[in-house]
Amino acid sequence: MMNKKVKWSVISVTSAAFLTFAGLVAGNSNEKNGDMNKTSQIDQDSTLNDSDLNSNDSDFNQDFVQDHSDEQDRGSTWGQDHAYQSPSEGFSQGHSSSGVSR
Amino acid sequence: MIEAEFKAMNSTIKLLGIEPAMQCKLKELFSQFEQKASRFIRNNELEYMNKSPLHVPVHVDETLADLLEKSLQLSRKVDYYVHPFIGDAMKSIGYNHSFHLEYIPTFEKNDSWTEDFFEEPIEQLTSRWIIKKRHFSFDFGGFGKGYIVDQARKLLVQENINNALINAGGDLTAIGKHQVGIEHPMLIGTDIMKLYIENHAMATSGKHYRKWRDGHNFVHHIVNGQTGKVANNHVVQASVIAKTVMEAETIAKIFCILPLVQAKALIYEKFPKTAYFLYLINDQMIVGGDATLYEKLEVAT
Repeated sequence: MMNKKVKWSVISVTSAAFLTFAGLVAGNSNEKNGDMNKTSQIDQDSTLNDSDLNSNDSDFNQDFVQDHSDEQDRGSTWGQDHAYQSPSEGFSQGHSSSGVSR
Repeated sequence: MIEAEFKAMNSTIKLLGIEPAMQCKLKELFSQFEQKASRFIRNNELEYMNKSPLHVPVHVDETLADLLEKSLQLSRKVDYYVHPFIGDAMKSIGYNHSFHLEYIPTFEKNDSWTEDFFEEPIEQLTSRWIIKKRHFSFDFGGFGKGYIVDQARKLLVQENINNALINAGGDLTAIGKHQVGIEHPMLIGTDIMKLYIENHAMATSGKHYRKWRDGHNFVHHIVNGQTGKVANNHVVQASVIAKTVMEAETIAKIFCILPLVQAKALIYEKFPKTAYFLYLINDQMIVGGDATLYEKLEVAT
């Protein structure tokens, strides 16, 4: 007959093994859930890329600069276009206005 | 700063920071150039070139040879959307004499422009001798004004003048730092933007001033060099900052000719040190390009 010490040793080893196994299972299922989250993120990224493809002129310069920044260094920095609505009044002209010397 | 002005090339040439003796030299420089290079002056060196026969060597005046070479360099970079062989197309659309506010066009319809431009119509034997391969006429247009303003700048720099500005009908060059203005194309006599440029040039091309009627339609003086047709995109006026006036003029014309996306792609590739200020037909303004070429931009509200 097993004495009490052996019994408890068996029980403790068995319990430890069970708990370890359970932990492994739980960890594995968490990883799977994490992958699913990453997939959603990828879907989101795909959505962003789709909108980039449909970008209008104001985004053109951003894409254009990124595409060409790895090419030969032209030493030039083109940023995004800025748009303004035409004003109802203008500044007074000086000697160096584009229109003053017709 | 000293201010002065004189008339030349159908414009009022405005000078800032230039002493009277140098003002006279500049006036003479502009006058001599106009006498040679204007297609509106009879019996000059340009008319001689235009009337020369085909397939024989033609001698080219030294100044015009330099102008031609610089014009061709730019034309090749912009795929000939702007080029100096455009005279017949200009006559065809009614631009036959020097423009003024009461301008009445005369039209010289011709068959010389029957297909899209694909090849330079001259052979350059040397820098001073050419052969004309087919019928065309030279019109240096904006190239010419840009060229002479650049030459004037060169003269000032050689004389160690380090703070001056020359404004020739909207084509201007700044030596040192100067505030310049871009005219509002719909509110003539006012500026839509003010900014500072330093040791750079700014040129402005527009469709709203030099225009006239052809039947029921309004036409203007900016022609697509590849098709010979009046340019028809969404840009009313383009102002461009570049290193030289010739370059700025060429780029401004490109913005007035090509669809905006195509123009930006071409200019970014061939002239990356450019800033542009565009006025569109929907009364929107676009500012873009290299913002390091100017400072303290103010936009009217």
